[in-house]
Amino acid sequence: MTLCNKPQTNQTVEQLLREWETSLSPELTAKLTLLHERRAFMSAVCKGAAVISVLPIMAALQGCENKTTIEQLQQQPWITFAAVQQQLFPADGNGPSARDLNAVHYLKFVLEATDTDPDDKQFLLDGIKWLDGVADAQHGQHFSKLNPLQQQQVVEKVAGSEAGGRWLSHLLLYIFEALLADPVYGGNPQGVGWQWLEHQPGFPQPPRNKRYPELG
Amino acid sequence: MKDYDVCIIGSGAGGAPVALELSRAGYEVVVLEKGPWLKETDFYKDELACCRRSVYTPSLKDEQHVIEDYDGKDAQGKYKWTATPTSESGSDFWNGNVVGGSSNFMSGFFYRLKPQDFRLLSEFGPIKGANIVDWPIGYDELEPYYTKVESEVGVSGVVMPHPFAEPRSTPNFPFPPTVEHPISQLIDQTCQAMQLHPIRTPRAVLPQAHAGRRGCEYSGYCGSYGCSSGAKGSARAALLDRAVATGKCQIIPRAKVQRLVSDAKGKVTQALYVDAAQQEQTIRAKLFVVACQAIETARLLLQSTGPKHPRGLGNNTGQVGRNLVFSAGGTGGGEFPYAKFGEALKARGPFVNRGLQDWYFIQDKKLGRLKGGTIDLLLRHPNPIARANSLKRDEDDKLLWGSALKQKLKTEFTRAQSLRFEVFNDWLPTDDCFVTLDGAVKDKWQTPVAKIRVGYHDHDLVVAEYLSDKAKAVLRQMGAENISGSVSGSPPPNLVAGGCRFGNDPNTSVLDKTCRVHDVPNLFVTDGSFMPTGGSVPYTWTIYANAFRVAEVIRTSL
Repeated sequence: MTLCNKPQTNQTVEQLLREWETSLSPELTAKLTLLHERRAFMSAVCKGAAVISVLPIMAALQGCENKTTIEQLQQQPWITFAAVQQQLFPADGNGPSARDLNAVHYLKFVLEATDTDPDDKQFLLDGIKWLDGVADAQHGQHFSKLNPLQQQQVVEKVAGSEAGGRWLSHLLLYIFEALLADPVYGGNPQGVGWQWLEHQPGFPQPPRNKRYPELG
Repeated sequence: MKDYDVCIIGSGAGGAPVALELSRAGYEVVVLEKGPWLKETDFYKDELACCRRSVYTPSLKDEQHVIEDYDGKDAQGKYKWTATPTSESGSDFWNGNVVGGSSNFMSGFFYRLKPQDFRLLSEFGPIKGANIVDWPIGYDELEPYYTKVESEVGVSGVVMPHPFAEPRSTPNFPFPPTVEHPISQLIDQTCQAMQLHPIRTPRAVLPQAHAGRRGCEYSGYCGSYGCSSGAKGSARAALLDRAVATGKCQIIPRAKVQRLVSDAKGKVTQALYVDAAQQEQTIRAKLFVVACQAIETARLLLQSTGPKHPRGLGNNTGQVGRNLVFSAGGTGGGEFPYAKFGEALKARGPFVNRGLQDWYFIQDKKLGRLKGGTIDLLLRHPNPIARANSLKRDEDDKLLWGSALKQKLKTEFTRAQSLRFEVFNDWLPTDDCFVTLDGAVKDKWQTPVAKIRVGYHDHDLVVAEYLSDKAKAVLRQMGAENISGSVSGSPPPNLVAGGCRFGNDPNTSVLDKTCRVHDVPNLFVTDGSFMPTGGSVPYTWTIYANAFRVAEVIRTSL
């Protein structure tokens, strides 16, 4: 990944967003639409040692044993994913934020799933490059270095474009999974998402050895 | 190698009754099931496992279908069809590939067909472009088996007087209805005021413990989910566990049958399958039963060529795969704000259990007399991730994010109960809905996948629209807000039948009236494939009943 490279700044925001869109083939966009509007796409995921939680954002993270460490989440692309997720699902006093949901950790779990659709995975990862490009064209810095107001302006721009809107929409789906899937998968700590939306989950809830990768 | 009396391919609602009846009668039975053997202890209320990942169905990369969709008309006015592999479209035509089949994941809305459904052509006459026929048996021949299913599978409900009630041989269901949601009372009051006859939908769900199965625990997550208590009358919980207990029935999970081998006389001698370790295996038996759900049953027969069956088993007159039917209809709903209708409507767990069959037969000034259908009422599916994902755009289809999105989620999740309706009406059999083998796309074992043309008859939409309007009128009368409804010619993959019609004429059917393949004396088909017309209710009860009927034929022939 070349996500940490300084983006090219000689293009306008509009040029960049157009280029992003034209970089996606019609076949790819059709497939991405179906994958995300109908159902998601992978079935086998994290196996390995449990995470030892040391930071508050990780406190309730017990579900996903994908060897993720805090140090890893403090590296790119996760810093930028976390920042954009926090704009999409902010701490605004109305329910949990993306950070409260362990959403970036959950996204890592999704992106590392062994049979995640490779095109979708690539699309999500590539988006960081375009986001940073827009951030740089607009404010002269990578997205994660911007202040919250600037980040909001960048997301606004990205959301207004076709490819960018699609990318944010994909990120939102995984925020919703981190908000409302069973806590055993690493998001929705102690059912905080369910409580906020007054959602009554079903029972029995899956124990750790019966998460979906262990079935079938 | 052990020789079995009967080899059954497919362990769902079509295969399991045969397995139970023949093993109970002392015959050596083997059931080959492509999927894993998941049990109550594997089923949890996990939206990712149930509905967002391919856990109970194959990955479309490994096994898929090719769907031929209607794509307008050409210059000569002929229909054009576009074929798309489902691995490209993401459109999934698999249902439950596990022991017990998709009955593990059904909602268990159990309705019988009505006598007129067995003679649709005689009752309502031909419709241009539709291959409507009468069945070779009447309702009276299936009635004893509908009754048998009530006790063997476990159907709960209460018989209610209704102008279109089908005759039954027992006064009532063997199990009382499951606990009902407060909204059911409002439905009853409204419908009675409208001179309608709401039915307490019979359910294949046990309200109390019975025969080693626990009663329903009212989690509120039933349809699409595997049952953790055993209360749902899946073929596995209700029938196969008992078949295995006889000591005469062996179930081999993860066994994908590739082909049935037939001899020079045309009889089936062996089933060739690939086991869990991807090793090729063979099963020999006196008699074979295919019940892989309509699409895969047609595919297996077409793949099973032999000296007497050069075009596939049962296909010497080219009928296998033809006249596939889904269920026509539509869906919609309305909202009942808690502020207006009270907090009691928030309840999750109890069932709505209400259906309307007042328009099963329509007498309309404009449309005349025609076959109608069933309206089933149910709460919105509880899956929250799917719901949140459906709320992420505003009215102008603009992506919402940030605080505006969060506020919308909060409002929509907490504001109102939603009552949905589902319309079931006949998907008329036509020459534009059928299964063949695809010429190019193969599965991971390098065998051709099923190609399905999914054309529908315009008449289906006329009837669906009529019923949808009636359902919306009920919701309006109940005081619902934001009432919506839509009908569609898109095939619901979980409601599929036909493809191997039963009938008396081998030139127009695949099976005889006992569901034996016309020119293969030791081969039966016992899933929904036999149905020449679909009726206007979900298929499962009829599939179970017919499989019990055929099991008796097989038992007396062995």
